Amino acid sequence: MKKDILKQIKDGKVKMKPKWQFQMIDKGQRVAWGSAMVLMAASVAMIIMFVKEYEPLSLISEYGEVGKELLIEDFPYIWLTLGMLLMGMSTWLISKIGDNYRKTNKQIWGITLLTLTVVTIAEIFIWSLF
Amino acid sequence: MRKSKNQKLSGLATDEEIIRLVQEGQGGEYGEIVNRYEKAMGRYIKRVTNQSFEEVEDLVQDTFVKAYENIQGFDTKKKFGSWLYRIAHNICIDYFRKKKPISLNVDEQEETLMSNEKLIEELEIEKENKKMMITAVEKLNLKYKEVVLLYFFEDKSYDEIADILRTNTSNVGVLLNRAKTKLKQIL
Repeated sequence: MKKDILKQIKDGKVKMKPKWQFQMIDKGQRVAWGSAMVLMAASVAMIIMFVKEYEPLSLISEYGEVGKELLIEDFPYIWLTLGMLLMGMSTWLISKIGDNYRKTNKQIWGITLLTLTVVTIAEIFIWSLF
Repeated sequence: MRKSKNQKLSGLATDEEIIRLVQEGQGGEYGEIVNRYEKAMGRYIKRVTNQSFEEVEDLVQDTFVKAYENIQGFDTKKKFGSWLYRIAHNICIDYFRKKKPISLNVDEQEETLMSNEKLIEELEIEKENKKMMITAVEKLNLKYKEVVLLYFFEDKSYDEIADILRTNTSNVGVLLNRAKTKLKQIL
């Protein structure tokens, strides 16, 4: 078997994939995870801003059923759906990066939620500057 | 010069040192890796798939070829053995996807399985039940079977099994305990 494998290597039938290919995959996963986190934080920030703007509790107490209907109508469902999809995607992505398969589900969710909180606060702060 | 280098490789160099040389372009040194792991891979793949000698040999060769193709993706700070077992695991999974496993060849498996004192002790098996243990291991679901094979037959630690099966160590413990319970139930 050794001879056969070495012959295939020598003849060029079996070739090593270049190192950059693996580095690109690894970096790609990290970038995809980072982008998913930024987008997810944006969707959370949009929902927070909606709540701030509409003040649901006072709206309902002030306008009753009409206030409730207004909230249901104007709620940013797209951001909620996007946020939930990204949450699933980012936890899956992070479990694929490096040695993260060794982490428990609790740890993976912990990292995701902690990062989400930090990035959301940062995004809200940055938006408030403009 | 060449001879002394080969002697050094066959005796003293670690797997990771050899892999570093292969990564740097010395493809010929890969032969030493094949020498070191050929038997272990054959044994492991045979136990997982329970296929004929020829089929197993093909799968072992596929494992080494795939490992060579992906060698630049291996981090030499990690354990090469676990990485190679991971590739063998993937090769077996692919094999099962393409082809249904054939009926088990109990006679061939008998000797190696029955001589595993560690497992016999764990399961508290009576002498007359030893033969049934072979069938019991074969009946296990692949994920349990692999944990049993890696822990009891390949002498891998929880950490190594976690690397091979890409899971966390506590999950390895859970899988192993469930496998033992299932084996006891079958027996």
